Amino acid sequence: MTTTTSSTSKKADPWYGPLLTLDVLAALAMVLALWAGLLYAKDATNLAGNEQTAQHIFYFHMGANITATLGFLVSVVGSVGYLLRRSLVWDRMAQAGVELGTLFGFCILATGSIWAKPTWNTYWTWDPRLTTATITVLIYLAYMLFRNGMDNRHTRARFASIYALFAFLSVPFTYYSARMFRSIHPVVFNGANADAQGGFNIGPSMGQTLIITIICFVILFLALFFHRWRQLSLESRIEDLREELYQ
Amino acid sequence: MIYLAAALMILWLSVGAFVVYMLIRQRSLEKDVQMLEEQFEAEQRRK
Repeated sequence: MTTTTSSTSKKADPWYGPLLTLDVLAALAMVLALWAGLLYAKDATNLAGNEQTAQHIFYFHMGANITATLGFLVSVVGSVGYLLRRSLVWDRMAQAGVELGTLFGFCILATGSIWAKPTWNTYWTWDPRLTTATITVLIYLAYMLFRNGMDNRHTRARFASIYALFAFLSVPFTYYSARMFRSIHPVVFNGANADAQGGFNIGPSMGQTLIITIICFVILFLALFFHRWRQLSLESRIEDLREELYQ
Repeated sequence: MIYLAAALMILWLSVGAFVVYMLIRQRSLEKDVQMLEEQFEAEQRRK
């Protein structure tokens, strides 16, 4: 899957080779992530039964988590870039970042809910971490709906950039929610949560697996991001052509 | 095991659906660009 304009052949496109390489790397990375998360990582010794098996979801949940955060960070970079330079290239970067951040944000909620069933005995509870994560995903969903409501590209980009900067405030808020409020969600980095249920100590193979899956998910993110960014450029080219033809 | 399988399925189905969406969108965008470029070239020749 490579994004090219119809007038140029795929092989003449300078991005074709690098993107194809990135696609292959992403596919291999996903195989590696599956191997590491399912086979290489040892079971948590303080858990048993379904809870112990479901603990392996953690690696994919964290991979999606880092990837979603990366997407939202890219949206901040794109938004600041647009506000400073007024170039739509930056706006397209922000849009691609938000789309991928929201996609992986949904994956975080889904994998987390499934992990919660054997661990907390419920798919969902209005815990501070779960609530703030849901709000974050909804805020970014609103970003995408909001964009579709505006026709002028620069007006849309300006408002979307400002919105994305404010929307990003929900990301650190989600991160700190399990630390600031009374939450049963385990805390993995920088601290501990005495009220956490289903937490575990990370052993050497678990730590290595976590690093492997995070790197693999970042590679997947990069592949999806560059394709989407270039696809949005193609959409922009169509808008340019329509303006030239019909105005 | 069923929870782990369900979580992985939802994860890959979501990512897969996004990839399929991008592929479909790409095809339609390439068709649109081709059509518009042809129209644009015809317009240029007429001028």
